[in-house]
Amino acid sequence: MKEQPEFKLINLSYMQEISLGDLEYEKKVTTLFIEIIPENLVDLETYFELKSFENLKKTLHHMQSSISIMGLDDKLSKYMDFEAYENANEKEIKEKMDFITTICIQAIAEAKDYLKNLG
Amino acid sequence: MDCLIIDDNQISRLTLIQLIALDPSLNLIAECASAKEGLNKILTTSVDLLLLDIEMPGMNGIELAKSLGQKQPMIIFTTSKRDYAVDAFDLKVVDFITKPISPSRFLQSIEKAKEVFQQKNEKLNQQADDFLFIRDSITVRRINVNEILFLEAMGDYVKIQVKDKFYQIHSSLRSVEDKLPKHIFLRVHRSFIINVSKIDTIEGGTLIINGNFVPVSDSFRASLNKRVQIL
Repeated sequence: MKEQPEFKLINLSYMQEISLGDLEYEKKVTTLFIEIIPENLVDLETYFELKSFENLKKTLHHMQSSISIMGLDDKLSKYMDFEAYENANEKEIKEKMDFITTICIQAIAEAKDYLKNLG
Repeated sequence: MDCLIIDDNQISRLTLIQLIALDPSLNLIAECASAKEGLNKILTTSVDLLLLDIEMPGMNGIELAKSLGQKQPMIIFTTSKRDYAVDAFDLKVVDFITKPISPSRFLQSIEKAKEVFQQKNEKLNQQADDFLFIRDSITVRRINVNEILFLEAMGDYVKIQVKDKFYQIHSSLRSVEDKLPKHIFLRVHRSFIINVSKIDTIEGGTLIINGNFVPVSDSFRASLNKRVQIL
């Protein structure tokens, strides 16, 4: 493996604590992150448009493991907190989701770099 | 301990597999992506410990645990939501871990499960009589469990095979299984429970016990191999 690139967003320390050097595991979960998160982001947008907030919460819940494995909890935890949506108006919800989307898109780009580095 | 993962999230399942590999006493028998799939596995396989997610589409983890009743294996709930903790502990589970799960927290939870497992086995061995009573037409008959070769489900009846004869009782194999000492008997097929000490030979998918052929299904083969400890 080449020297690891520096990342601004993703933090691989949890993933590496679990992998204990098992690169196959790292490749699998990184690939899943890259593949699944864009689908989740589309779902978030769709459910927001439909005002289907129960499904929006479920999608956020489903994203949680992907977020954690890439060490994004620090950046996103308060936006992933379902309870925080209860009293939020639509504008605030949209802002939270836009933030999640921005972070996730940048994180996907970094995850791709890491995957390339894994070979 | 034979473990089963039930979690709809693939990253969570892969992570739990890595964590299970940290303790050699854990044997992963399967990973299931839904509670329904997991329930089928529990009903057809011997499972000691469930690593069970709570929020899943369709049946959730708590509903699954409630549906198991007396057949409930030990459960460690693994979830990203703390909200379910009270409900979970009402179900007398071993532990409740929130994701992301650190290796140290996981191993701490497994140690708790091992203690419960040991206590459970000691209790079972102490409680187990070496005989059982069956209703044989109008007579209630005592049978020494060590005389039983195997039991076979036959519709609404269970056939209890001893050396030269058999008894037929009106019951299901599952309810009879609950009353048999687990250190003597083992389920090897949906329709068969055997007395492990009576096995003469094992060949492929078949056991021979005192000249009787008993099928072994694929889903029970791992627990049979583990139990017989082939040299």
